[in-house]
Amino acid sequence: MKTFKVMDRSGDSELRFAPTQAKEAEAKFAELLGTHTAYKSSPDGGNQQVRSFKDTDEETLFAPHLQGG
Amino acid sequence: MATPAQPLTVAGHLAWAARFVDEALRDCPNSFVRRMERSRVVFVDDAFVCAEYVFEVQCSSEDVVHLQEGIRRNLPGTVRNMSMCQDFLRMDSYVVSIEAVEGQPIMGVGGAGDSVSVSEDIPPYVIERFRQMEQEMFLRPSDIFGSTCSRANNRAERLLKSHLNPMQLHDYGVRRCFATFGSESQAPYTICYERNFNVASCAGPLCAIASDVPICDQMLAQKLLIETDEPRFLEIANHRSGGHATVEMMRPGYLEEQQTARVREYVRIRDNERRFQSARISHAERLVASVRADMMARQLRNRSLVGFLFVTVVWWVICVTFA
Repeated sequence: MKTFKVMDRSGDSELRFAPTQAKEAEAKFAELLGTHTAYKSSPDGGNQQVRSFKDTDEETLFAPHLQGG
Repeated sequence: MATPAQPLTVAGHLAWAARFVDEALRDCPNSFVRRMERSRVVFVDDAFVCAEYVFEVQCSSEDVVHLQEGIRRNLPGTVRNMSMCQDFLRMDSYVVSIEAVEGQPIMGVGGAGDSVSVSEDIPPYVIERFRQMEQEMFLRPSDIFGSTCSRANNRAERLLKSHLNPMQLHDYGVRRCFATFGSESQAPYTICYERNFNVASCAGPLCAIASDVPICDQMLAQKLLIETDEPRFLEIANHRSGGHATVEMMRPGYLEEQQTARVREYVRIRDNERRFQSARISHAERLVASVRADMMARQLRNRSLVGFLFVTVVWWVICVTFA
């Protein structure tokens, strides 16, 4: 099961994709990259940016793009 | 100064605010507004209730007092609170923050950094109206009241906490802010529970916002970007000076070096000024001395001439008498 955690007005929403829905997940990933930055947990306990869709990533966090305030 | 008769748009309102500042600066010829922005605006049913204007002025410390008096004179009864603080990096700059109340109606809020806030002394009916608007419109209580009571903010806070280490969690619990380190410079950043200018860095406060999410989500987005792509964060974030900070500015001791350099520059200019003045004085002294010498020589010459004429006349008289 692949999970996208997307930060939004409600706090965050979870999108779950079954292993058979890889194409939908990839399409959604590409769509979200337009407005969000994707992160995944790195093995050392930190986070790292994800720039392309990988089938192996279980959980991806999408943080909205920041802008100068 | 007269208040505008027509309801104003946000841009119009800002222009109006800029006008009264210009008016206040009229008596200070060397002062000008370097940058102006409206940060917080509260409105109910399109009626402007209060706003906070933040702008940056270049002026001397004496002119700041004139400016303060001028603003109070031009806006009698509307200025509730005013603060001025000297810019840390540019000593001739002041960040002036004015909170005005009961102004003119505006049409709405806009701009990336705008947020809606309610002060404690706003009447209860206004707060009640905000609660209604929150259900009708896009406004969220987390944005308006900064409280953690809303479901969205609770979710965002849970998500944020799940990404904090024990030390950061402790800090967030105690002070509502936590420290993190930049990916490039390894410099410390402190992220606080605020919408605007909530990231404290070695180079001063920075502002990079995510306007459509609760504050905790914004804090997490800032933390992730700082930890993974610090140059990008610095490129986005606005600095209080109006520009952007750089990774170089995050270097430990950068600010101290800048201030030392500024002091050195000041001392150099002052010394040059003194040297120039002393050179001018010595030149003037030389000029006076030469003029004096010239005058004395002329006097001497005149006296000699008179003496010669006198002797000649006496000699002539003697000669004529004896002849």
